[in-house]
Amino acid sequence: MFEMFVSHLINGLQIGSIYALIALGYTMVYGIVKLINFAHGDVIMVGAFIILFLVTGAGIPFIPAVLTAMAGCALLGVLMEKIAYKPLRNATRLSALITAIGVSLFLQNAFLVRFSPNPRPFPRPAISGSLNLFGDVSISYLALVTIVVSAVMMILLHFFVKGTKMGKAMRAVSEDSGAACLMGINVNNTIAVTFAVGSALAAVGSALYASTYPQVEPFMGLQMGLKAFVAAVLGGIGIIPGAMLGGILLGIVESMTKAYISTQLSDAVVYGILIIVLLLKPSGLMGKTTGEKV
Amino acid sequence: MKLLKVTDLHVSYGAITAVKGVSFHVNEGEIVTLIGANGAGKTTVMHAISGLLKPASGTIEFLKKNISTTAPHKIIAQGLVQVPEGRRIFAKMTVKENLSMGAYLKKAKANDYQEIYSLFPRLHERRRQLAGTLSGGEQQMLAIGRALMSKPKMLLLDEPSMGLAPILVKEIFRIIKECNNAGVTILLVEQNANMALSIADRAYVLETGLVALEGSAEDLIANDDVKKAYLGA
Repeated sequence: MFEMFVSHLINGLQIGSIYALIALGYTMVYGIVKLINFAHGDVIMVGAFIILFLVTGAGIPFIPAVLTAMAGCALLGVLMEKIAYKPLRNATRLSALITAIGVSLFLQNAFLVRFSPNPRPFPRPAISGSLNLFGDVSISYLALVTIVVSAVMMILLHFFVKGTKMGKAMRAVSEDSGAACLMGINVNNTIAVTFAVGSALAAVGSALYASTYPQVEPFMGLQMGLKAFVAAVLGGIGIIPGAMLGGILLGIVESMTKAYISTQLSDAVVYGILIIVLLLKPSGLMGKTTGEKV
Repeated sequence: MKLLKVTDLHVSYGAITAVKGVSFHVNEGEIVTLIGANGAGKTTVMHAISGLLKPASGTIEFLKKNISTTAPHKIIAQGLVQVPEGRRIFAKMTVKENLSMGAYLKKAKANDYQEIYSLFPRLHERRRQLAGTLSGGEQQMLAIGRALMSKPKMLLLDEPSMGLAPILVKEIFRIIKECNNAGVTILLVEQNANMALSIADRAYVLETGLVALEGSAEDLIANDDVKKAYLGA
């Protein structure tokens, strides 16, 4: 009984840490330009395609392929911002939001036309076997790698944001871009870097996700993107530790619902929790309730 | 030498022209103040100088170079730094982090912090506190200290007395004068014309987007129209 519970917990942590990695992209971008980048989920899809083609097409080993996908997705994020969002920076929030949905549809359909809707097998790395923890409880090496890689990425991000000059610039721009501008910070570059970092993290998330569910198709980012978005809102959108907490919590709740309530209901429970949290604490679990300043 | 020279500046917000041909200059080492009522265009002029707004026409020259279309971060790199209206400190960062942001384009040395702390001992006491927890006066000190971290040639101060108790206003103006004595040229925008004229060398009176009057601070203090309109006499 307890051993089953621990296994479900590990499953939850595994998927939850992937949600958290992807949620970071949503929350960082929201924090700095107040935009929900709905195309962020599709960056996952593009990342998976890049890895697929590099590994099966060009015969490049998995890790260098992931690193290339990180660079590719970072570039995609920057281009997305420059082409689609930057011209709308002073437009209403709604116009930017609709544009983000447009970018998402564009990416999905461009890949659909070019690569067909048929799922392709993802060349996941040969990580098999598992580590026995205690009694009958064991953790698969894939789950272990997923959790450790996500944790390392989040720690690196933490030090990047807290300790580096660019990280400080990101915090300053997200708090008051006008004042940041008066400090001599190049606001455009800072925003571009934010998109790049978020998208690179999505590429890592993509590699981990596709290693767990090894299928690549043009709409694979839809569901994953939505879940990660929910995770970001749950933790408090715009707050980096919030995205981490939200993602992991979401993964665990999902895994527990599948195990103890019903597999079909798991999404309903996840979105139900989102609704309840938004009703009780609209700013998210780690958000501070602040009145709109006039 | 004319450090800053603004010639026939026009700035609009969409269809509304807020500044309609303003010309003035600031000599090296001076304190010059722009005074005028709400909506006269003072802040708009400041934003245009810092590059936050693009002028519709006219030129802004700093160190004899036209900077009217230069990006804000490049203007700051040349030593022309603004302390914005409403202080705009980073509330979620500590006092020390705020100061380090001021030196974003250089690299802050321990000595630079020390200079600011000796000017504002209060900031030293509170250096590890989040800036959002400071009082209004302390926040204004932080905003000025933050701007000084970049070692500017010229400081643009937009309404530094806003919302402060009279005793703090005096303190802030004493510090502005002190910075000026240390060699920083000052352009000061104020609604508190009394205080501004008391430390300024020269002044320009702005009315609905135009320079209505200019002269030495002494002359303007004695001017009857200025007295009636701005000094409450």
